[in-house]
Amino acid sequence: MSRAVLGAIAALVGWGCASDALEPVREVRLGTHVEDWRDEILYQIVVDRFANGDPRNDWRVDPDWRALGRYKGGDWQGIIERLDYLEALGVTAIWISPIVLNVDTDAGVDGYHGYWQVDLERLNPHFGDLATLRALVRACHARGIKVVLDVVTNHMGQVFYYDINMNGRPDVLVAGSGTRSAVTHVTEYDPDYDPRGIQAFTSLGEAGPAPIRFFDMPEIFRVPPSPAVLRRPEAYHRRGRVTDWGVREQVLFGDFPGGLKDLATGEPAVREALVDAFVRWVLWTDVDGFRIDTLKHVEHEFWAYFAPEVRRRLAAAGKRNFILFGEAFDGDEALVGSYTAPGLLDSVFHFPHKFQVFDDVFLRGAPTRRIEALLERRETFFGTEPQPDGIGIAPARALVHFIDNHDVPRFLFYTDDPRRLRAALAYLLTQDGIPCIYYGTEQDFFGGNDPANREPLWWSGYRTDGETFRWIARLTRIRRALEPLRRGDFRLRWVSDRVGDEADAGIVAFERVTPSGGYALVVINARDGERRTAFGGEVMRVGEQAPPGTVLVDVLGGERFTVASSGTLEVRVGPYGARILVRESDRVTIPSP
Amino acid sequence: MRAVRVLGAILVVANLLAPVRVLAQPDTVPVEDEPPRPREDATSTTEDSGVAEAVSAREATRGAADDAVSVVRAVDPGPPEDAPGAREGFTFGSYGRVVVASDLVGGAGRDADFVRYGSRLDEDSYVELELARHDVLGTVRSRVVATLAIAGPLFHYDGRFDDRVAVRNLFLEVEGVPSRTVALWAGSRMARGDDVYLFDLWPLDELNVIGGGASLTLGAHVVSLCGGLSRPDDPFQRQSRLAMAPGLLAPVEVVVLDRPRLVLAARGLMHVLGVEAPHEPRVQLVAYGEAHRLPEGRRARPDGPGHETLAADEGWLAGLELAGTLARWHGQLFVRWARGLGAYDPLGVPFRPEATVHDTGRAEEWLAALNVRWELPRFGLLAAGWWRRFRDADPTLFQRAVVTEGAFALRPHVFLGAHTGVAFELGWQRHEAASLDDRTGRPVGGGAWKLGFVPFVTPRGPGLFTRPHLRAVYALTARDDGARSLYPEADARSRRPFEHFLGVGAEWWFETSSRREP
Repeated sequence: MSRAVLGAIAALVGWGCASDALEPVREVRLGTHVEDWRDEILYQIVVDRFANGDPRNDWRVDPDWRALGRYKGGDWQGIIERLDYLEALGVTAIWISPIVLNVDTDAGVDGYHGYWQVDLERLNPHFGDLATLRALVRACHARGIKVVLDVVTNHMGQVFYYDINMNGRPDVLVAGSGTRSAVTHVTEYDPDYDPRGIQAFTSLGEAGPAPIRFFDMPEIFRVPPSPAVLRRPEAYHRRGRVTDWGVREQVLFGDFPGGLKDLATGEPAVREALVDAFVRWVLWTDVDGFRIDTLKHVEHEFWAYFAPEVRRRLAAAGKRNFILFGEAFDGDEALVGSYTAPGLLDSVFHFPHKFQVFDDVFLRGAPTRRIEALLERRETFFGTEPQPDGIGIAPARALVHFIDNHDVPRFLFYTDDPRRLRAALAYLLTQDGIPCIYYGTEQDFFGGNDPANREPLWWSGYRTDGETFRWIARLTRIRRALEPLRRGDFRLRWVSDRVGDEADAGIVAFERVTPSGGYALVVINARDGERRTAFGGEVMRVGEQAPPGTVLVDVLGGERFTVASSGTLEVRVGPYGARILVRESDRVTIPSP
Repeated sequence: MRAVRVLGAILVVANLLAPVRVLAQPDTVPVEDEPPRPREDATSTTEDSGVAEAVSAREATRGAADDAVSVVRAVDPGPPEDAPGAREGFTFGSYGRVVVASDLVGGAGRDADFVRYGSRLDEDSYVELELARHDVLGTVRSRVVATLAIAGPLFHYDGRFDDRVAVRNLFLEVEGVPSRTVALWAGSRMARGDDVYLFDLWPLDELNVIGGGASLTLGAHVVSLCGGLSRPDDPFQRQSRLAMAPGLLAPVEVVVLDRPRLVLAARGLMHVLGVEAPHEPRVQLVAYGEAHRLPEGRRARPDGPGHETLAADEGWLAGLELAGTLARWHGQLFVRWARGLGAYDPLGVPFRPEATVHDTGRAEEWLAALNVRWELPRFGLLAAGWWRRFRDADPTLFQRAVVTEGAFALRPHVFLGAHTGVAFELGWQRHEAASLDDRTGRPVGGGAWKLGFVPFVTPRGPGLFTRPHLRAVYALTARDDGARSLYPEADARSRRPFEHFLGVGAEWWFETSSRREP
């Protein structure tokens, strides 16, 4: 009632209430915005680094360009204002870095990345508020762009310390003389892993499990975590920091370096709290998927609960085709693929593919045969049946491929030849699965390890006339226009063991074929010099969708190729070049970038 | 038209009742001279409750800055009084209110308001002690005014011998030089115009400056000017650092940034109607304006190495007041519009030290207020309301930048005898921000109703503004969910739908520089 009174007064005076501005985002109507996730081209955004649209939330921003570990000012409003840029690039979905409240700063580094969460029910005010987040999702959906949230279930930020000496304050202890006894260094913020749990210690020796004490530093948002269930010691494993990544127990139960406290995800109350918290953001914003952090640090049993429960709740609310994919930062296909077992996630980032194809083949010149080997193992390790109530596509066919991301040096950090990058991009945007482009790739950013690889995008001036930008824009339009590139089966036609001057060294050729007969042939040269799909008298043989006499047209260069009577096709490709061939009869007009 | 007829009927009834009056308050209290009140309430509200952050801390700067005695005619001192009535020598004056209260659940009674200008019912203690020296030399009069203000909690409550003390006035005013129609002043002064008593609100003039001013009386009209500087001790305007001394023995303090804000104000008072006939309807119009200017500055970055430039900034404030008196009715309508720096009190700081935005260009404030008084011998009524829309330049709470809020209060008084009476108050307030609450998904904002009961003893007889008052106060505040969510979770008020305030206290004013005795 009182709101009505204020509204009446406002109307009498002639101005609206402040909350009138919220009208477009006051309610959220959940919808299913994706038909087939393979149609989407993901673009990864580190929110703090993409665009600063609202200087009002520039709190604790460090303008020093070298201080990349500090907040830089990017926010959700900035993304809204740069949607034209994303449209020009041609991406169709964005993955935004975590949205919830983080420990603001710790040891000279800020929580700009979002992985130091402290309150799962509040938003990071550096990026905007709920109204802005809703406005972002609405604006994206209005342009056909989907939004994926980054969520963390493995750990919280450094929200407590282990009071090992039980003196009620966090200490960094140095003990020992260095002569008769070894000098030891113990930090109560981030002590080394102890399988028993971190032990308290007094002058009489060990004194049982060390109590944990939550920080209360509201000035940097380092406060007891929320929801309240996470304020209990039992909500954490309390075993200290991982010291041996080869020990599975440590990987699962240890704190992440930096004092990120490992959640006891086996606890029913913790599991439920995590589902509650993250589903709530979907219900409140209508986002289209979760990118889940640090999969391999959480036991599989958790995913067996989390994934179905999220799907069930969202389906009940009217949202389907919600994608759940995650990050298992590991080159072990068996491990990475294990998270796509029946009942678990819809997809994962294909780290082995990143390491073996983009790094080894496109960056370091390894033989393209690597691709074949990887492909052959794919259905062994990755789920081959769609998840129940999931996105309707088998995980093995919906793997998220990427060249680089915020956790690894950018591709161009290792090479100053952007042609290699463009060849890799051609492969990324024509292979099967879901391609994901890290922001700044289109601007030839070349940052190294974290945080150098998290450059503010405004350094680029958001130019859209750069060669790499235009290359990506062309490829995204081609992928969107050609259904076989999105949904077709992937059939390798040519790979090579050779890495020298041989005619086919660096060549990878594959077909994309849909059940309805849609067809595309892609030939990419991952090396310098002109190469072709033939070697030692053997010529690439194409599939039955391109019978002898078929004229194939390169949608990139316009050249025509005719399949020989023998069913073979020799395609020449320039240095680091690519050809995307379609039957002349299937040729479509590719919209200009 | 119907409304006009109804209003006319009310006025007729009021006039019929008029002959039974026994005291002549309206005749002796100039219409523009409602009792002034200090504005420390805004400070105490925000500090006590912690709602400052939840509501809009930067908005509070306007109120937080101007805890000073009101001087109704500081900008408009008015003509000198006739020599026979002019006083000489020293005078001691005071404004004060002292209150102690319980919340009935074991705690101290606290201010339950969350809007910019809240009810006076649950205000905190505040006292001004004023010493003035008056001299008359022929047609020239002068006075030196020194006002010391003390804000609660008082010593007998917290046992601390370091009450918050401020010098609120320290100025010399000369009237009659170079002519009888001119008054000049210089010094440190709080310049305030007419107030809305129920909300401790001064919609137009409300300045704290060190500077000077002049006023010129032109018949029934007065034009006043004043100007001055203010420089809060904040890195936005002042910054000092320790530096190596030339002799290298001990570091010395070096001022890095020192940029006071220049404020110029002008006020015009025009008696439109009823100047010569005090018992007829009287109407007056006040036009008021301020110009603010802050020069460019350079300072060491508060959050790291290096220096940064703070750009020059400026702003303005413009307002109108229409006041009218008819029989026992008195009403005032105020409208104020401020942009840029003018939307912030001269002692306020628009930005956090670490903020990257240092330009108030987008700040804007609209304020409208209505104040009505109706007084009969045995009955009196105060009614007031205000509405405000504020857009901050750089809010502390990020997106809670645009705020709309308002309040109204109705306070009837019944005078039960020569020295006793009782007042009731029904009040309402609401605050809204252009933001959605993370936790609830609903728009940030809430409302509250307030009900008050104030029996009082008034030794000087009945009257809405007769003081001193010795009184008991009970106030019940009923908050809705949204209002509770404006408080931090750790604050008990975030969980209480009802807030009690039961206390005793006193309020007085006499011989203050801001008003003449009735």
